[in-house]
Amino acid sequence: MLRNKADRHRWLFPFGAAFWALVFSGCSGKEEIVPPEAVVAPIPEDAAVADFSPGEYGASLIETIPGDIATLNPLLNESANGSAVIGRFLNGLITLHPETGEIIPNLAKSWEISEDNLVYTFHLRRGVHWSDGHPFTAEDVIFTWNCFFAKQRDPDTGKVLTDENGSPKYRYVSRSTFGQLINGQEPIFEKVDDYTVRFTTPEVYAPFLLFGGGEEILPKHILGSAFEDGSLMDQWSLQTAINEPWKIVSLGMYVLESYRPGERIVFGPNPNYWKVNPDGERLPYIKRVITKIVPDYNSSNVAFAQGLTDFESVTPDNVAWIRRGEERYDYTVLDMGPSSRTNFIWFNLNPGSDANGKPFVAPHKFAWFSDKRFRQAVSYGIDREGIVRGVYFGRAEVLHGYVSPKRRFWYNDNIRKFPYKPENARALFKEMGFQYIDEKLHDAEGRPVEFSIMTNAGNGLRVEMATVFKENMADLGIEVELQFLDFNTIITKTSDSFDYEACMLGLGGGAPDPFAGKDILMSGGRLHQWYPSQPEPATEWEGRIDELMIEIGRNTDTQKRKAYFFEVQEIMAEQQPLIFLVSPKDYVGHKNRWQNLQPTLLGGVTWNEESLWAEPEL
Amino acid sequence: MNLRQIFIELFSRPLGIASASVLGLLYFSAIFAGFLATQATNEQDLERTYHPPTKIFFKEGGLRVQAYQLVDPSTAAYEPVEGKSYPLQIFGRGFEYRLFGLIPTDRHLLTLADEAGSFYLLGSDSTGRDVFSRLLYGAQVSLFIGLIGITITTTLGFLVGGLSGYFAGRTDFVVMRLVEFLMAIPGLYLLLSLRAALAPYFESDQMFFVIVIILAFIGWAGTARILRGMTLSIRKHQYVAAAESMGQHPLRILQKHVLPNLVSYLLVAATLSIPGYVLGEAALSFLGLGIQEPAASWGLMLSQAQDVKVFYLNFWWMLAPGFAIFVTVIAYNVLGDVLRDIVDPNMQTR
Amino acid sequence: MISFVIRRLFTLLPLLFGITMLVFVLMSLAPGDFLTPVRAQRDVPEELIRSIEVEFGLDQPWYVQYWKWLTNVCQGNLGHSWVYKLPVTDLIGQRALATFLLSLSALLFSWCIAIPLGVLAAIYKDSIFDRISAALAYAALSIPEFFLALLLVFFAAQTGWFPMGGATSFGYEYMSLWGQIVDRAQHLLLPTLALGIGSIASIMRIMRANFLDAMRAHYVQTARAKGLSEFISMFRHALRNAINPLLSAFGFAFSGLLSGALMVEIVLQYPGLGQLMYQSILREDQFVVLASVMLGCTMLVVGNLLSDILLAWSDPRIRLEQKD
Repeated sequence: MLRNKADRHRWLFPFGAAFWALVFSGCSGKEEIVPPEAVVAPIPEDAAVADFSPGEYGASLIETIPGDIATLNPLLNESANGSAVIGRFLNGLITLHPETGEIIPNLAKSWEISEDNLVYTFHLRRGVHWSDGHPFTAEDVIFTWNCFFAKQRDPDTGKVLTDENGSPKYRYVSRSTFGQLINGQEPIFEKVDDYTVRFTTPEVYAPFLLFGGGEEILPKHILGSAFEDGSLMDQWSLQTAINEPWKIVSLGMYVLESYRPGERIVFGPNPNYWKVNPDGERLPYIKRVITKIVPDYNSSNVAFAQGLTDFESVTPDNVAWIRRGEERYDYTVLDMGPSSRTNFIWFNLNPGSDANGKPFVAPHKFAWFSDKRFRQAVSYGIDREGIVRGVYFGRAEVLHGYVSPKRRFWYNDNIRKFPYKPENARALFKEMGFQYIDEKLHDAEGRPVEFSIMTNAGNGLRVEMATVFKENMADLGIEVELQFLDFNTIITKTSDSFDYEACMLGLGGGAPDPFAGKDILMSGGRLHQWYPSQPEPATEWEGRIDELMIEIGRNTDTQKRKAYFFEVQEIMAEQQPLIFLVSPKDYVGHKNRWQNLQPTLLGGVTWNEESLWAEPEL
Repeated sequence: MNLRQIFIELFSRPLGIASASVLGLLYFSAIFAGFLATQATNEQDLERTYHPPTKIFFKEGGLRVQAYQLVDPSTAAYEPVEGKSYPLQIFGRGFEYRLFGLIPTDRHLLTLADEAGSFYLLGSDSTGRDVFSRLLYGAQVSLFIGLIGITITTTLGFLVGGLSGYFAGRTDFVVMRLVEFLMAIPGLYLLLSLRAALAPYFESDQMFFVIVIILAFIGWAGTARILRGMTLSIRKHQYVAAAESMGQHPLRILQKHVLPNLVSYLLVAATLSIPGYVLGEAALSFLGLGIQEPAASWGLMLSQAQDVKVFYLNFWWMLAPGFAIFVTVIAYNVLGDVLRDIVDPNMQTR
Repeated sequence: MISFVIRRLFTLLPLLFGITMLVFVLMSLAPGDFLTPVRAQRDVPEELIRSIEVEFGLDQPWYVQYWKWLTNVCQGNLGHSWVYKLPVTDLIGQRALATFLLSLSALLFSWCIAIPLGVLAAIYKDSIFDRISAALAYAALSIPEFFLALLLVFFAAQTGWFPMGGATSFGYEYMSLWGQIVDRAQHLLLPTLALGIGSIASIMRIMRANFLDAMRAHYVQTARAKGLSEFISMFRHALRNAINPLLSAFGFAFSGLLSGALMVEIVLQYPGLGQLMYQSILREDQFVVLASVMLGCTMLVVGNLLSDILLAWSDPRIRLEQKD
């Protein structure tokens, strides 16, 4: 109890820590570790002014997160939940505009890109301090990139060790290590002065500003020694979060106060945050953020509907009943338009065979699947409007192509669309030489057309979509066998054993840059679902997509990139390797007590969380 | 006491008659599911999801069903249309099916005229399928899994327990340690582990067999243990020793001398353990680990009722499969208790 | 007595060995591992995945992995949860406590209601009350726990009287001690009902039968003959003797509740051992599954042992050493 209090008020009482240290050394023995006192630094010279009317300090925010975190070390994190939590206290040099999606300054106040599009110079905000009072400088940026690309060296000779392919072995293998390699080469990064860093990419690489600039900056003064002694990856673990949360310093608007595995994460305001309100007062207004870990989205929706949480993303099928409580619990559910989540079906187009020489897909079925008319016919036969109406109660949108309409800038509406027209499907089958015998579809050789489709059982709405798909296909005279498998089994089949015919899955998110989809779209990609990791593009159109993607990667002219990406979308729509179904709409609920809310379709409700305020509770 | 006597006694007791007839009715509906169903099990209607149960009333000399209209698609709210109803036909023509899986026909107990659309005795589910019809088809899975399972476990338990009790000695020791081992694992834990290991090697529509195998694997141990004890005591009888000295094969002795003495026990034990199988299937399917869509089973149907919108928008009819499970289990329990009272009130059953 | 307890606990070892091996084999049969979901993410590089595989020994055959695990366990190290990246002991500790609390409260709840009901049913044998309670007991025994739990959720959703899911409220950490106790109790209410109602029925039936036996017994007849009041003869003598055999059911009931709690925990979203076990199996978080199976088995064995001890304690005629 006492410890908690000491934690909570350590910003408010400058002498608190010393006082409690005395108390604890007196009464509870040596186990209690007392957090060091944070130094409140002056407001930075380059502080960002958040343009919202000034509010009142001291409210608490309660919200939920759909799963526990595994680590707070950004080098190790692999989960979306982890990223959401880490994003609370670590920031990148750039960020995205909540309305337009443009790249805007964050920790860097500005940047220049050289004429040849190879050199990026970032100017950091001056006078920014970490939450513990240590200044933030170019050293931290360089340190962060050193973490990505430090090599394993021979202890005696100091030579860089290499693997069997001759590429260097990295000391701290993280997602960023490989993610930031440009065509297998590292960018060069150097400190110009305390507030300027320069990056040089080995070739023109359009997404560098977004991907490289978006990397979260790590504190050298905290993690530097761990970097030296090799324990970097063990830092900022959950143990740290439980026992010594103050070691996890912050450049974001919050600092970690406490963490209980499986239960909750509590944040307090960063006393050294670099954003101020128009009156020049330091933000954020919020005194405490309590993030409850609620793995089941239904339960967290229920909690919001009972007035227990402040913000909540509401699933489309729960909107109806949650809105009924709007008056009673004084909240509002907002329609945020189409989401970036997509659902799709694909056929296995892998022409290979297993170890025994048995083809992954029976040859006659492979012949159907690899004919684009077959895929188009299936696409015509799916009652997407029916799914939207029946399964989603009208709270979703029909999805025609690879890009969700949410990403307005990159969304091409002029692609070929396949509305629900069973007669068109039948016509296409006829064109392929298929025929109907007793209402059942048979191919040109007289074989009945049937296939199995797998999807994961855990997702209720997807199960419903799958049963609708089966009925739609039955109307076309195609017998579809549904297979509900564990998620792990599906991934093993799609990425390893390839013994399946068709699959239905969904993708969440969707990165802001089209190049992020290269693993899905390019024929050599690991997530090129219908036939991953192709040595050579198997078809002409896949080859064309590869070319376009390469251009998107190395072109910096946005209009050109857009044109290329539009063509990619047209090819995807024409060929239907992924048959898209629907995209649920986003709904966000918020308590009405919050002021300065300015929801945007891209940024959601809490993009300006530092400016949000409410009457403090008691 | 032989089986005939048991049955005569059973049908002289009110509880016995009641439970036996409830079970009879349940199995009858499962067998005649196609005839009794008002819609094909997978017939979807995306315009009519979560339709409430249709009202049926008597008017103009016949049964009529109320017509409904969707008033708010975003909450699946339906309202009866004033004064609009359709006559209910008996033995009319509907969708085609095979009676007993053999005889193709399209006659049904209750149908509507073609233009009248559809009616839902127990409402419709998330894709507009008729809950009542699915309940009937689900009964085929949920009810027969118990019968098949119990046949396997009883046979297995009898063979293992009987032989083990008969041979005694080292075999007995090993078998009994194995039995104790299996019984020491918390049932559901073992169930989940087995299912995780087995399921990937089967197709979705073979899950029925996976479940039977798993349930039988877990269930045989208890039966075997008790049967071993009983065999041990029967073996002490002189006629067994006599048969043995005549050089009869152990399996034959088991069949001829031991089995008849165990029949009444087996009957009671089987009746009392069938609910375990029904519940096991229901639990697995409920967790999404058992029977898979679009097939129907009571547990699977009940898992749809786990959705919060079902609670808050009060789609209470989605709970119907739970009541069906409940009625089945209670009927078996009552029947088992009555049988036990008849056979031997002090019988030890697991 | 002590040697009996030690011997029984000793038999636990081969049991645990066998069970963990079985579970290990079963889990290695299932395709994929805890990294599979990571593989499906588009931005996790393959090299990273491979390096984690090597780190955790996932590229080794199951018996090598099992041996590694076993040697670790013998040194008191149950391993790390892959999903939670926490020592298994930390993870399981909290969950086991929650399940223990639930089982205990279900047990207390069912005993407190079942014993008086059983006694009343015995005293007013063959009355309307007796029949109704017998019928209700049938119903309670036959209703699947998860269905009962589902009905309770439905009820809670419609009325809004009960908290839905979880073991504590959102503001739990900021409550007073008393507030925390009340809060926990509120959250325990529905799971306790769902779990306890079934055992009420069975305990009630046993209690009724025992009490009927006891009432017919000599000492009660004697007490009555001595002119003791009906009340005293009933409750002093009959009740005490009728409860004794029930004590032996205590341990067994407890271990039974433990595995029964799994479904209730899942439906009511109560963060206990069963729920953890279920999720860990789905995510193939091997060491957590192993540890929870071990814990579950141990509780089962200890529960049975407890019944034996209680039985011996309540009935001096039984000597533990005679049992095998």
